[in-house]
Amino acid sequence: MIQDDELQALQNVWRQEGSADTSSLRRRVRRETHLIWLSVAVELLVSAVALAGSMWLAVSNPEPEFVVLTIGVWMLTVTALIYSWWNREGTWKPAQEDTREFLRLSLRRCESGLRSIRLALNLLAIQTALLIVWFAWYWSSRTPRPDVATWLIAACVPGGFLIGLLVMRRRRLREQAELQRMQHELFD
Amino acid sequence: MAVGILTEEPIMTRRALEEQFERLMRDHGASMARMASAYGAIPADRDDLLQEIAIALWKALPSFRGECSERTLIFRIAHNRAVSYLWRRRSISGDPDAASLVPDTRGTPESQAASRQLRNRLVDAIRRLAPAHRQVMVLVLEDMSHAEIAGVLGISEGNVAVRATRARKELRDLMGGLR
Repeated sequence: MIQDDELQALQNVWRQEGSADTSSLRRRVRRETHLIWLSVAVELLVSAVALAGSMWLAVSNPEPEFVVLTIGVWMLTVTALIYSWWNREGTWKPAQEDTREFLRLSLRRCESGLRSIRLALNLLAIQTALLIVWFAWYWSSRTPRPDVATWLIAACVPGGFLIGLLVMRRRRLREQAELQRMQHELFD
Repeated sequence: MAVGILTEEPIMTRRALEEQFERLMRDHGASMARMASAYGAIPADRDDLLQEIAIALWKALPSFRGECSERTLIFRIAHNRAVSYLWRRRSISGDPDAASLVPDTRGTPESQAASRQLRNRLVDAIRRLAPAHRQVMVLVLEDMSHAEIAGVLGISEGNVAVRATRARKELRDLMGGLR
């Protein structure tokens, strides 16, 4: 049959090439796996330092300001840690699904990512408000008070986070639009 | 036997996983490389995609319980990574056809042997196919049955047949146009 001969010819041409350097790929996979573990270790280390440091601060300065600050740091760090682990759960599982399900899950994950960014923006607003109140409370009874420049430098931290989150949100929205388009192209 | 280990034991040792991974890469690495060439026009993109596929396979192996054949698993993973490669590329560049319109830089036709030229033309034409047709065509060229393709993509066999026919027609036109 002409059609089958044509297909056979195409398959022969298609298979003329194609090789994968498996040892190099294996090395890269190993390196990537190490990097993932390293990022987990760094995340845990940073959290441990934040928790231990704030605890040490509260124990060595048992004033209400530091106790409140420590409680705030613990609450935010534990919330971030729990969310991070929850978010990581099952990250790679969709890879085994068929492509239709993979796209559906990717879209769901993208939407969940957008929700996380909204949550992070809200947390940032709450954290900034609490820190402003805390700083005002802390400095109300102490001298010399920080000047405007110090306040402006301090404001760069939440400002930086805000810009980062907005950039992430924009990227996620673009991804969501592309995913929807891809879903439409492939399965509608 | 490695397959037996995969399906009968719930937990694989790291050594068994590595052996399984090596074997799959040995048996299917060439297919994966060919598939990557259908999506990435420049070698660096193809290498990145191939690496992503290998990493996804490595991460998927511990939870694979033989729900489908290894071949289907590998092609599912490879296709899913290719699809995510396409959408990420589009969302970064903003160009819907960026992946398929990048020129092939593997040398001029004059510098290649005739068979190499023909293959380059085929790969080039495949990259120009619409994503839905490209997916099916690559799997057809890898000699997968319609049932297997349906299992990889999550569509019906009838739908695979329709897409395969359209893809072949489109490919024929493109290859003709490239002559």
